[in-house]
Amino acid sequence: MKKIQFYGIWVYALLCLILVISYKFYTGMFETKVMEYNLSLWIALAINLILLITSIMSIKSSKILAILGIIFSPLSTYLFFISWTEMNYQYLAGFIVLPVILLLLTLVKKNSLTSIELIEEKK
Amino acid sequence: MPSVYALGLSPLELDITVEKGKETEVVKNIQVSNPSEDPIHIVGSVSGTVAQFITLDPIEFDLPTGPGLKSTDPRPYKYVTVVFKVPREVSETKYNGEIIFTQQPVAGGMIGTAAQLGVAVRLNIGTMAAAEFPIYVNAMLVILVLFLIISIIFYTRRKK
Repeated sequence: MKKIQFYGIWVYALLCLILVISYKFYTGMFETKVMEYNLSLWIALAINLILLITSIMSIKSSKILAILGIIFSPLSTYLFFISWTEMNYQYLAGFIVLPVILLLLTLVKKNSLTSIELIEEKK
Repeated sequence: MPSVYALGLSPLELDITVEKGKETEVVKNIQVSNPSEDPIHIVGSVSGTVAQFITLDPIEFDLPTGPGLKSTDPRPYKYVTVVFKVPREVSETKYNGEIIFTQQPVAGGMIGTAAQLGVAVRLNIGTMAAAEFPIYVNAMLVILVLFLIISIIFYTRRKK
């Protein structure tokens, strides 16, 4: 697993957390309209672009994580945007689940790599 | 000759403050009474920038003959419900206007011309609202924080 993939997912998850906290305490800030769309769409899009770019860059090192990142990126943008515009927290829950899944897979992947390295060292 | 004072309104001002970023519905009542010795027909309307958020119920109604302007006897009245529906997305922080009640001639009554009296309305959009997440969203946020911490600990341990 490439460093960039781990950091990409970690930064994406952190930004998702910041975005959801902003949603909670500064809900009104997403009202600002840029090119006919609320700021909720543009911020979510910017954050998910980080995930998309790092996923594409690391597609050779871990295919599952990269493909999931590419699929999750537009889905995550949509979930946040629709959650804010429709004020439906079920979509927001979906938005939080995506980085949790990616972090979980990252941990599993790292754990398996560490185990293989330890076995090789013992040999 | 009818006078604007032949119509009783209470209150004469409505000052409403709602939170920004939150769909809000505020309901207020205005008492409209008839002190004059003639039956009256009243039509309500809203003017100004605040009009887009207000609905009146009823808009039109009749009030029977009152005790007279100088009398202290109870006057016939009706409550008009004023509903303020403010959406999440509003561009301004202040909206002003007036709820106008127009006294119209009644068939068989003595009133020949229309008279108006208004209630001043000020709608203030307050500070940003904090969203109240359901428990499952809060729980998932905690899980996300835990995963962030665990993954960074795991990553640094592996490096060592």
